[in-house]
Amino acid sequence: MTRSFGLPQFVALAVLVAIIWAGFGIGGNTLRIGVIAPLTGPTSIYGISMRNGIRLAADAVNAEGGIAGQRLELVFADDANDKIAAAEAAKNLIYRDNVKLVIGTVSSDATMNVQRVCEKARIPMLTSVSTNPFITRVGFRYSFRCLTDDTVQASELASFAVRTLQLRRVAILHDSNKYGSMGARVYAARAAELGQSIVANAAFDGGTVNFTKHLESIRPLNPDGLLIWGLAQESGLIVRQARELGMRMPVLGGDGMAPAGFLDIAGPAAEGAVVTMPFNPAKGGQAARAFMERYRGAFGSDPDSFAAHGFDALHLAATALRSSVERGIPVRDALAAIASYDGVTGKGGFDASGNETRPVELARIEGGRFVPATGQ
Amino acid sequence: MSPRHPLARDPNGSNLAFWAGIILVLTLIYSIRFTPPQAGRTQSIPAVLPMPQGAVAPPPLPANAPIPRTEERLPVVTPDEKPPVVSPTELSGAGAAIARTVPAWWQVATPLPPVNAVLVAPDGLVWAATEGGLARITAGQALLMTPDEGSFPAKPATALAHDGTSLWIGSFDGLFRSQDGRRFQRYTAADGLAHDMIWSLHWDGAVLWVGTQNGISFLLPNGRFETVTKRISNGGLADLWIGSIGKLGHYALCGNDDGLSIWDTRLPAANPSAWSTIDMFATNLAHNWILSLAVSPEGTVWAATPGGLCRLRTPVERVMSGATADWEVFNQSRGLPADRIDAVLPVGNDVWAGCTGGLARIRNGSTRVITPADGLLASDVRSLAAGSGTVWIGTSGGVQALALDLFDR
Repeated sequence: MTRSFGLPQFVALAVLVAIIWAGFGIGGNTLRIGVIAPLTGPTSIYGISMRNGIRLAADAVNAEGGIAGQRLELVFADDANDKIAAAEAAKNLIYRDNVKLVIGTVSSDATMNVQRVCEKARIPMLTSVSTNPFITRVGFRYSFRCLTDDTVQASELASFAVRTLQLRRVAILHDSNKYGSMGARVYAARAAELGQSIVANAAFDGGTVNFTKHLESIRPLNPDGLLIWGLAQESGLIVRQARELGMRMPVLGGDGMAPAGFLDIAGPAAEGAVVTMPFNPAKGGQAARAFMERYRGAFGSDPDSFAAHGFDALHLAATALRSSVERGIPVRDALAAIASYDGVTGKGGFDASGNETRPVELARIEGGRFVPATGQ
Repeated sequence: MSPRHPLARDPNGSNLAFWAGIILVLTLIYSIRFTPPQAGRTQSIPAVLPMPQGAVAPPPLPANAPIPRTEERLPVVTPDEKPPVVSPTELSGAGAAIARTVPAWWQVATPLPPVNAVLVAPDGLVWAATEGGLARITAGQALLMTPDEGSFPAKPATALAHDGTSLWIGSFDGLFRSQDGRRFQRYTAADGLAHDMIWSLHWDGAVLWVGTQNGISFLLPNGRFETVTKRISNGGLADLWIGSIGKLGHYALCGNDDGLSIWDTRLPAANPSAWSTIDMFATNLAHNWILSLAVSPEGTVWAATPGGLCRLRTPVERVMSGATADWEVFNQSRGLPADRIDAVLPVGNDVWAGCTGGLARIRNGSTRVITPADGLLASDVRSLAAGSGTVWIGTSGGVQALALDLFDR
């Protein structure tokens, strides 16, 4: 017997496709969140961690039914750590893709260029990685950050360097971008208040691979500490090359040195370095342990600070979207109303300027791992 | 025999096909209903004249062509019957407290999408660059031209300038030029612009200056744009985003997020000594982000920043010679409604400041503030423009006009 594919079968098939189409939100029954991050290039170690954390959180929200029956749909954009590309990504996400909120990006330079587009369009931007204090000190109503900024990070590091490590003469090497220059500036100001001398303060451009000249200009000044405010690749190379030049002073750094990629590049030369570590799993308790387990299961590696903050950022975004839908208020107002939250990174909250309110942890590199620093 | 259930299997399958068809139609309607609109598409805009590839000059349009009456075709935001002076409810804005008395100084109030720039053209027409597109305001009525309606090719419109014959409109999808307010020629990076995302425009009487996401551009007489980026200027231009641009004599003023970069245009842009950047770390500039710039007729430079409104007290010539810039800062502690200033407009001896908390007029050092309680459409003043005896104010709620003579009465 032959069976023909007639109208009834065709209609049934079409119904099936339409139901799947609608059920999975492809037709628009979704709430779109834009995510901008460097997913290619040297800084992708931050962006991919952040993306993984965000994906994990979005999957969890959707598995629990989404938000008011609508699934979260993530729209990713790769800025490749380029601030122009970041601005273009923000434009496309907002005006083409109609996202409700933007999470991103990594480099403070890029994030600043994203936040200006978001402010103009009145779309909330939440960064979980960028730490330049200006991001939340420009009076922008639509800019938020769920990570301790460099005012807190650099100040805490300076206090630790003076009070615990007893360092009196520190040399600074920093990235010339807005992340590095502002971190170095804040550290130097706090160090001066505490009586620490800054014997050198030099900038390098992102992408530099040979730091011999920088380090040889610092060595004759006999600093008893070296502060690096830069991203993982350059910071790792600086630490290695400093040790190769026989410079044995303690190394300090911001959370740009917090990804595992820094350890891969610096190798044993990183031992003993003290860095700001916004993610201490012990602070997040059971939620952090569950997150780490799920992350390992999904991605086969331990999550770093950027994955954990990405995870929390997505949950904050989801909370704001849910509140917006349920209370009929703008997403921005719903996000601003989150005075405190309890995430895998610990307890946090937004102040009136949209900035993170909690202090920062420090970690020491021991045995190739980040270990919470004592004496903070 | 019990009646057969509508969904019971039919030996011929006809019921299944019927219900499947119903579900299909409902599902498709549901899907289409909740599909978000695709914004910003410009391919189907009939009114746009595309810029020919490789052209060095814009194709000429008839000079002084009359502006066609297109109100019937374009979406009218304000009804024709709308009186020029609006009611207290309209002036109060959504969610704001209703003013008990509408001040007489308000001449026009037109609800629009958030307004990024306002301009009074030489012919008296008022234009507004908005998040929704380009708006033309005439006799208290606004015509909003949008990509969705096919009447303006881009959104958002971000900046405006007028060179005496043509209106220039900046957008995040390029720069547009129009002589009749109906047809728009598009210029992009392919025409020499530094970038397609336009943040600021300035006509200095001879040259059009364009602030983009990637540096500045200026229009050459041959119709091509010349570009200056941070790289081309060898770091003279401190950063790429140019949120505001102005001109004082032969000095080009470029507001970015590392301060105010000044270029002595008598020297090549690639010459580092042609540049000087004033920032908040070496001077008392209130903040490095320059959100708006203005030069008063007597040559005073005003910079609007997130930390206050700043008046440059040091002559630019001296700054370029190495003198440290000195600023006078106006902020909340001096009576402004907020520290963040988005717009600045010198008018005569006064200066108007558009703040996040309202509008302020500074006269002889004293400040007078206007808020939604006074009838401002919204508290965030994003743009300002001067007309004859009028200050035009763009907020997130729309455009309104303030009569200066009545304001001081």
